[in-house]
Amino acid sequence: MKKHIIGILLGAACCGCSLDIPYDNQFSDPDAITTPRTARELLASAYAALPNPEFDLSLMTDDFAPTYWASSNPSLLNQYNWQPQAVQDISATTWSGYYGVISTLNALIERVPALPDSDEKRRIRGEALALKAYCYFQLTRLYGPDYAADPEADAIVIKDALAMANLRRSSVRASVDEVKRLLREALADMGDTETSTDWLGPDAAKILLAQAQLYSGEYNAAAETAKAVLDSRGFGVFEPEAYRSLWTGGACAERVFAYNSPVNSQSFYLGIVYDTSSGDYFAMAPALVASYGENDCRRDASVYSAVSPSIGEQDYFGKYNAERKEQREIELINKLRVSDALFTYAEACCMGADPGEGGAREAVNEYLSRRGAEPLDESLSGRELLSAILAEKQKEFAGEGQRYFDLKRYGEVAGNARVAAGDYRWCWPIPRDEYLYNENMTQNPQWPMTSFG
Amino acid sequence: MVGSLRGLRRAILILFIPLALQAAGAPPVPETTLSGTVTDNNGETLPGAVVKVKGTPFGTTTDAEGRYLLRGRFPRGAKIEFSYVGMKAVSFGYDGQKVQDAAMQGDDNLLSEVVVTAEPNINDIDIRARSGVVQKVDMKRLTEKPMIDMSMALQGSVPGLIVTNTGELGSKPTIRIRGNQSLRAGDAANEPLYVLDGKVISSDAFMTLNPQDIKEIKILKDAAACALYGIKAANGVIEITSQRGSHFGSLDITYSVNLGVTFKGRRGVKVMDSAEKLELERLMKNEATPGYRYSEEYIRQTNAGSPRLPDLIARGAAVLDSLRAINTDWFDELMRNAFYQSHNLSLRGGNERTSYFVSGNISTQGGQVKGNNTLRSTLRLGIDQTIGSIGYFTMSMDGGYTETKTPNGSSFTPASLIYNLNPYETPGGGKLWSYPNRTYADLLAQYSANSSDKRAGVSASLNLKPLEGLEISGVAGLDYLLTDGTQFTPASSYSEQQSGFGPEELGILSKYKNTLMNFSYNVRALYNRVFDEKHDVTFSVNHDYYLTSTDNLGITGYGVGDHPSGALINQSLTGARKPSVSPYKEKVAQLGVGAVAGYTYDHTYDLFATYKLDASSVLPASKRWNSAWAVGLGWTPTSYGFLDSNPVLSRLNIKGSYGRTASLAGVSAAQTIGTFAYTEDAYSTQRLLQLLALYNGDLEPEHTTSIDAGAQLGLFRFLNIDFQWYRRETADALLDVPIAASNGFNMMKRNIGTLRNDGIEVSASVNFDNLAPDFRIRVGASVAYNKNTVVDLYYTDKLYTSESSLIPDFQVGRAYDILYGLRWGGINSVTGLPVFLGKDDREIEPGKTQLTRDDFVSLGHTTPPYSGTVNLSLGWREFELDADFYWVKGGIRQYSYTYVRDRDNCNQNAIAGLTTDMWFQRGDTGKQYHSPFYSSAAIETLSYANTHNTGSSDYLRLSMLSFRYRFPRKILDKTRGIVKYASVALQASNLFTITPYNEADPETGQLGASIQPVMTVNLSVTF
Repeated sequence: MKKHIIGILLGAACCGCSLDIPYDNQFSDPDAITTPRTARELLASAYAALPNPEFDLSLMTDDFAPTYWASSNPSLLNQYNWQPQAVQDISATTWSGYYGVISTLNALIERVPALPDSDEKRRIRGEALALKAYCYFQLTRLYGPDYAADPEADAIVIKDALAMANLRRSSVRASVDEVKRLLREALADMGDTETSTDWLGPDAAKILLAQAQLYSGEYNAAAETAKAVLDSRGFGVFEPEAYRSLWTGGACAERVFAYNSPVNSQSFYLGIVYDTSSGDYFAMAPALVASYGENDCRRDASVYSAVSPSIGEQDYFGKYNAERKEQREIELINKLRVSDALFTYAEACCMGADPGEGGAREAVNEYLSRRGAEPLDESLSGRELLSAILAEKQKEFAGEGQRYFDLKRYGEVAGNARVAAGDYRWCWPIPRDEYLYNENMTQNPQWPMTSFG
Repeated sequence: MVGSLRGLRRAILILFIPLALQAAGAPPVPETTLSGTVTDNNGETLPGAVVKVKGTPFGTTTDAEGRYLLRGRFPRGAKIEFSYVGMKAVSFGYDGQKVQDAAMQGDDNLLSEVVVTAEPNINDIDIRARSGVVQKVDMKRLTEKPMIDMSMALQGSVPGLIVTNTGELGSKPTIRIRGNQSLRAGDAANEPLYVLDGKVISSDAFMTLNPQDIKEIKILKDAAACALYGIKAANGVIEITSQRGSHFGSLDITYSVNLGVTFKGRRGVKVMDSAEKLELERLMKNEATPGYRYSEEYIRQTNAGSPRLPDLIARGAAVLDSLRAINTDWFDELMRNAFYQSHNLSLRGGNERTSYFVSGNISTQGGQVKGNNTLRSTLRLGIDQTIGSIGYFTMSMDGGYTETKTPNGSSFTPASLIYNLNPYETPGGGKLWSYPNRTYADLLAQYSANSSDKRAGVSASLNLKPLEGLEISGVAGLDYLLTDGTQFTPASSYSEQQSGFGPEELGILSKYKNTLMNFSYNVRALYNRVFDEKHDVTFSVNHDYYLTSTDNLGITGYGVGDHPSGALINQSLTGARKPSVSPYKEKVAQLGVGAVAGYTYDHTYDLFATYKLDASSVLPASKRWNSAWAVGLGWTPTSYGFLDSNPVLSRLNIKGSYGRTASLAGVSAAQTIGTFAYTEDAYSTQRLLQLLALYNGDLEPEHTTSIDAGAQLGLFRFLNIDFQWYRRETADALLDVPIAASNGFNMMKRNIGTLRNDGIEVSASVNFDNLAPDFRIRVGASVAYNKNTVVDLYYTDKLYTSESSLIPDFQVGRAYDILYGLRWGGINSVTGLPVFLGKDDREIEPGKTQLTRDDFVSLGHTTPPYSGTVNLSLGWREFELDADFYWVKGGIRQYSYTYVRDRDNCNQNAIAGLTTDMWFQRGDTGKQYHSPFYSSAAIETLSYANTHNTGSSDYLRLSMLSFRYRFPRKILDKTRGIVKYASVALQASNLFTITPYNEADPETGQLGASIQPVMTVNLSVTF
């Protein structure tokens, strides 16, 4: 009897010993990221978290001009006018946005080695590295001075691991070197196969690499890398139909990488709209609208002319905004396309890469003829040629944010920014929620760095 | 003085004995009855004590108030024995007396001689109480409070058990034992552990218990007492023992009913009448208010030169006159007296081998808004069975059902509407000025909701004594709680009509079903022997397991129109009104092993040591195991023979304990290890698997060290004093702290510092049971003081939890519940803006002066450090009067000030007197409130607390008043023994609150009304 009772009690004692109870809706290490499928889903969350700063960046350039309604939205107007507080606000969300993506990518990169070996595993690693490079490159260009201005100045924090750390900023040179290193490694992992434009592929990595090389003055390398993409895709992708389909979301030969998160895309460029019936806060800058030629397919896509009650005819921003106005859903947000390779190539040639200015002019003219625009003047050279190429680039990428980086990098060569080329505001401030908690942080010149209380 | 008291007692005895003798003289054969009260040596009544006529089958047990009625055929000269677990048995000779009271002395070694009384909670071992702090709740007083749920009734029951009401009657209060252990706010990290009959239950399940079913509640405060429960008990333990059956053949059926009313509570701030309100509106010049719109001034301005001007002015004046004639008291309109009733039926019976207790309860409580109500019912069954001579088996089953019906749901609480609706508006009066475009009905009937809790629990325990001194016991329990509910917003409601969605998308229906299951078991082997009648040695080991499983499912659908049916959900909708499903499932287990050793020398010295190792499934294997240990010492000098007969010192016991426990309460896996979960969104064709948090691989549990010392003192056999001192230090305190944004996350859980709770608890009671014939008086009072300090911060000496903080949230050397604010300097008579005095009395100009840390001064504690009670019991023959007062002191609370209006919101009602106390024009001096015309930057300083907009939250509350009449034996005997006991009582809780706090309720800070008084009539009959 006693033995039985003791036996029963001991049995009861042992049946509960397992504490390895997995969560129903959560997955913890080491059982979380164990298959290429779960790794891809984690990677997808990094892609989905990618900031879409296109509108904010464009607002700070000469792409847009305020309409009558702008005065009723002081915060947008402040940003348009580069008010320091407005720049600080946008800087804070952008910084934490990109570093949020980077932390997810670091989590993924740390877990990939445990996956069973497969092509998909290498592909995932390659994409993670390329996406991280993309984030670093965006951050470097926003938070550091231009490479040519001071390559040794502080730029961004390089995060090699997910763990909490209060790191120092790396120099612009070191930051861009890290971008290039990541991209080379990514290219080695990715192989040559292009898949969907929703994911970064080898061409996307090459475009990014070319941009980073151009940014750091490696003109020959930049031209070579960009040329490889141009050659493989061909100039046929610049035909007007392809340009139109960039915004409508259908298949498009020119598109290389586009953000595809249907829920987040719904709010893209929503901030420019004052009211669906009354119009937008901002419209296309008149000078930019006037610069398009008559048959330029880029004008058709970029400018959306409409008559609004009480403020009359306006040249509103087209592209995504036009999709919304015509009550179609915005599906994709273009991030990289073959035109990026073209302009990188042209700029690099202009800056001295082989085959020089002639090569630049030839490539841009080929592109322009497909877009239905007038070719560049044969007499242009040097700064004027660069200026003309940058003007075409503005027309191509109106409202897509690229203009911000050109104005910062080339100053007056690119055009007349509302803020002088050397102004401190071009280097965005390190946000308060970074420097308050990171004792190793430095602030960009002239921006405040106040402590508590 | 001592001598005179003894003389008095002797005199009473002399008076009393002849009376008792006179009543004697019944023939030996017929049935005799004997009644009385059994108390312990402190005069506390003992429910469940066994009264037995030696050598006969006659016996009974005492009721909840320690009273007994013994019936049987026993001769004069028979021995009447009183016994109680843990007490020395007392016996008296029966000499025909009708009344026999007994006062019992504590003695732990006589356990085995007492009739086996089942004790389902096997952690409740005696040695624990000798050196640890285990305090009992006075169940008699608890059941006298007319309260619909348990938890608020606990307020003031034991010093150091702080119960703070958080809202309306029936909402879950905050329950803390000796303050917050953790810097983290909220229940998850600071809530005590609830144990019912040895099984762990949730705090929600505790709320639904019926006080009548509870025999005993013990509050375990210090490390020595709690360590048996391990790390789960880091915040203290509330142990509940349910009623058990009786062992003596008799069957007692008790029916009790409470019928009562919940009153409106104290009116807070006095609001304006129509005349003043219309005048205020005129002064503020807001066109959206009738007071300005119909004023002569406005009409002249807008119709200048119109020939109809005199006519328009006259019409405006007529409108204003008609509005002035209306004076709706919205407090009366919105706060209702609600009806309350509770019925309880219990059966208690059994024989020496088997005993049982069955009880059922139904109560209903009306809500503040007409039509809303709560119904609660509980059922309980307890069976005890002895197994031969080697042990016993107990089983308890309980069920509960609570239903809350809210046909008139609103996002506006009645309390907020009292201050917003204008006196010239009426419930049936069409569109409101205070809520433009809405009627009163639109405000109140926004949605309808129903929710119910269904609870079922079962627990069983087995105690065996296979060998002399060895006891093997086990308890297992399962507790299941199903909460379900529906919320329905019809398409015709105002909010839906205004939502801007198409007609096919209107009407919202949400349904949820949440289940919570707790399973726990505990097995223990205990060896206890007394050697040489002096050395009492105890060894014990145990193993316990606790599993809690949550499985929730909720759906929300749209487009149901005006019918609350899930079948009508429009599943074709996309976008914002897409139907959604929210599942949640979690299972957490804890496992522990423990050992206990105790030694007592000659009832005088106690030594106690316990060690417990616990593991939780929440944490990764490397951090899973955490320990809790404690040692305790006790000394009872009154056990020395030479002190035995001294008249002054009747009892002295000194205790001390030291313990350490680790706690990871409220920490989830995501904070310690990489954890991922799917979100509802997608990227491309992939679902999103998201990293939940930046996990901290170095996370340590919070380590709490407690030192306790206490003394119990009994003087002159009628004065008892209990004194406790404690210091509890929590090192490695956990907190979600902000981290640099480049880490990708804004917050991370870190071990940030050490906090300390120091406290003193004193309680004293005086009993005069023998002061005069049939007259009893007992007065008790207690004071608890708790002080918290941040002792150390690891990374900094000041911790800010928000970027915009001007004052550190935590600072070394300071309490963490201090409210900082500015010093009020009055209203500037020129600008009409508030002026504050900063550092060195500098004047802070609104909108101009940059505030710094030094401008702020400490205004006080947000949690009152002092609390206490005063209890009073008077008894005269069959009449009893009990009163409980509860008070808190030393706290401060910010006023809401929402009833102070400015130009933009003066369409809603305001505090009476605002027209004279507010600055309106240059030269207004001595005003209380700033100008209603201002820019937001000018009053930014008002967003901080200041000396003007805060008030002391001290209060004194009459928390219980009970007046009971027991029907005397004479009357009961006329029922021929059918009725054993009967009583009728008038009971009230929260009758009044005295406070210097200017708004309604200093405890909750709610604007509406103070905690509502409840008055009931209680009738209780035992058959």
